Amino acid sequence: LRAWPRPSETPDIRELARRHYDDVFRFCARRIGSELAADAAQETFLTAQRCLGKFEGRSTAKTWLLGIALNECRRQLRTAKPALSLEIEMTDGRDGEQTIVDREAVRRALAALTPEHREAVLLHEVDGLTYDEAAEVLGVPSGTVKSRIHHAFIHLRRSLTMSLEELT
Amino acid sequence: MNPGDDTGPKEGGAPKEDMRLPQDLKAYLDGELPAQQATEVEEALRADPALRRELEHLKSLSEAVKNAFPEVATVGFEQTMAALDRRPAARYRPGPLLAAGTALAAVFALAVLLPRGAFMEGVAERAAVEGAPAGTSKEYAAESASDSIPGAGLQALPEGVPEGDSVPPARRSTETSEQQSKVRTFQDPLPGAATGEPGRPGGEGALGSPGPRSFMLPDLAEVRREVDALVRRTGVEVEEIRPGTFLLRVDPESFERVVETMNAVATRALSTDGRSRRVLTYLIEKQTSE
Repeated sequence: LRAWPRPSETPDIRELARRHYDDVFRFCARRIGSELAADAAQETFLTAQRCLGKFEGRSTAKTWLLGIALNECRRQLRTAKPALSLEIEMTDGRDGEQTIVDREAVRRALAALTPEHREAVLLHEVDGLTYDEAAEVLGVPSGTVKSRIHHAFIHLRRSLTMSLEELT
Repeated sequence: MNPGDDTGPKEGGAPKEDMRLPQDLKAYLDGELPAQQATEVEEALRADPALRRELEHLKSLSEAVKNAFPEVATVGFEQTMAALDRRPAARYRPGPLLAAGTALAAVFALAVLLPRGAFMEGVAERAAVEGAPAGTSKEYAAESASDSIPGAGLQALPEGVPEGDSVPPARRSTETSEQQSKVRTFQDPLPGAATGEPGRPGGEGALGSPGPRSFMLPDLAEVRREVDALVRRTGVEVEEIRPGTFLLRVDPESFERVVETMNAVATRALSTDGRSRRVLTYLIEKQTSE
């Protein structure tokens, strides 16, 4: 199954942006916050525009773009001021208090993971990628993704259990 | 074995069946196991109540992780499309920016920076200056700001602005390439802000490169009062096209007056310094009869 269209059907970068901008934006928002996400998403597509000729179709366009986006998020986190870098505020005002508390607990538990484990979890659980797709984005074997997710969940459960014990 | 070690025997070795199953359980839950292994897990689940409870725990945790990140509204698509148009790809020709014969409205953008901590009632924070969809009957243009010191003034672009300059750029201006200098946001304190010189050009993030003119303001209320008064006086139509980005549609007769007023609002407030990270943007569009 060829993920990339044949040369005669190759869409331009605008077509890619139309198809995948939402995914890329949300991907960035989850990692660096919605304030920085528009910049990161834009830079992702500008980078893709520069590199479109080098794309060989070994991965899907989406995972290729998300790989670029991941690098851009890391770059932004390196250059952003600490006060902004981890700012992720996504409550929509319709949540119950308990839901928000739960969310915060889960986010704290995620934040306590190693970057490798956290990224594998985000890619699969939140971004909805398969293990193979997550592996493409991360540039690691699919088995590594499986292992990272497994271990990440062990840690998540441990962290959340401890949080619950602290509350009670 | 260190549970955080993902290079251990669970990945590369030949783990015992009972060691492999928990890892397979998560993969089973995710639908990532080959059929044979999935069957094995199902058999184990049927035989082991504890394993079934484990599966339920994993399901709950998976749901909690998914719910930790509710959907956010997507912003910046139009700007990205515009930025792509501004920089043609080496191999692929981008689509036309404007259809032939499309009128180009004279527009300018005013980016208003608020001090850190400023209260923004009813206005969501936005980090980027927003443009309008390219290829529509109206095009937005940001003036090429050469400076932002008091009295520098704002001017509307003439009609027929070149395509390459016709969209307000928006991204962090922390680099010096041509592309990056045109795409900027104003999230971080402006150069000079820490020394009491708001918006002074020079160095990274300076306002000397093309982009909307930016102003430091003491608070949002001053801007809102001025704009509200302007709207009442002139009957300008205001639309919040993005959180924190307002489009003012102005008839040709009122256009210059609106520009002058907005210019005055910004210039008066310019002497206030602060650490900015929020931005309001006003796009002022001259309505055309076409």
